[in-house]
Amino acid sequence: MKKYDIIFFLVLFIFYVFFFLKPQKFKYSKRYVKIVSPETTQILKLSEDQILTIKGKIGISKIKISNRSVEMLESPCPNKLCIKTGKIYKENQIIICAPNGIFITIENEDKDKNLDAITK
Amino acid sequence: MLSQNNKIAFWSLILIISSLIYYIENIIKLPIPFLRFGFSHIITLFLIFNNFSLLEILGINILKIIIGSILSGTFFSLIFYASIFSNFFSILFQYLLFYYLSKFISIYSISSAGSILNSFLLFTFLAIFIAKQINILYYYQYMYIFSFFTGLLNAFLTNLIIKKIKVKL
Repeated sequence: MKKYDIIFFLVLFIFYVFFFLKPQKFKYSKRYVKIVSPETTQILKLSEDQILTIKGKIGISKIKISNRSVEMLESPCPNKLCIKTGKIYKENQIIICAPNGIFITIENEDKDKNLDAITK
Repeated sequence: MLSQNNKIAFWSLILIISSLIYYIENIIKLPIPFLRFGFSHIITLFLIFNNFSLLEILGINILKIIIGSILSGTFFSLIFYASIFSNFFSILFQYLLFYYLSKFISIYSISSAGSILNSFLLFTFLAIFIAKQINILYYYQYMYIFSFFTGLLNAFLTNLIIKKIKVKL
């Protein structure tokens, strides 16, 4: 190893950061949360931390948005599958609470660019 | 100085060793596509650091790819063209780095930069001619790190060889 090797490696690392790490942050910022309940449909930002209470078919559910992820805190349903789903943070991940009629998904504004097709 | 016969023996040995390594590496399939350690690159680095001319190094490399792809059955396929294209320019780049900057940087930098350029050229070739999608270049960000470390590994192995064997033609 010679003196300028470390500088050369640093240049390579800066190349990496410049080309690959920057566009990803840009991609994250276009995501949003869509919450569908029997009464309303809400669209929320992922970046704002908050706890929501939403009225469903059989009771009130609590939803928490924090650290760019969404999770169900409390639910009146019998199996608690929606709570067991845990945190969702990627595009097109989904939390479903069928007994209470609440659906939470993470979507992207320009999803046409990243996906070929979506089946429902 | 070596005699004419010894020169022929030397070049054929170099060619056989590098094309064998190339062939064996093509047979072994790693779990991720296009992932390869590039051990045949050791021969190229060895030739560069023993002050051989650019023409000889490029000739050995192109012959290596031709023989290796005839053996593994990918002769004149798109992968064959891709590897000739990427090898040509990465060797040219490494030779120029060695020629102008070898006082400042060691074999480690030259090898890692060469392998990064090689995989980048492979991916651009893939994106333009085979997949016809630029999105594939997103996958290159993992390849960048991997090829950096394989470049370091190859440089380390070449260093061991250079210390043991010295060639003068």
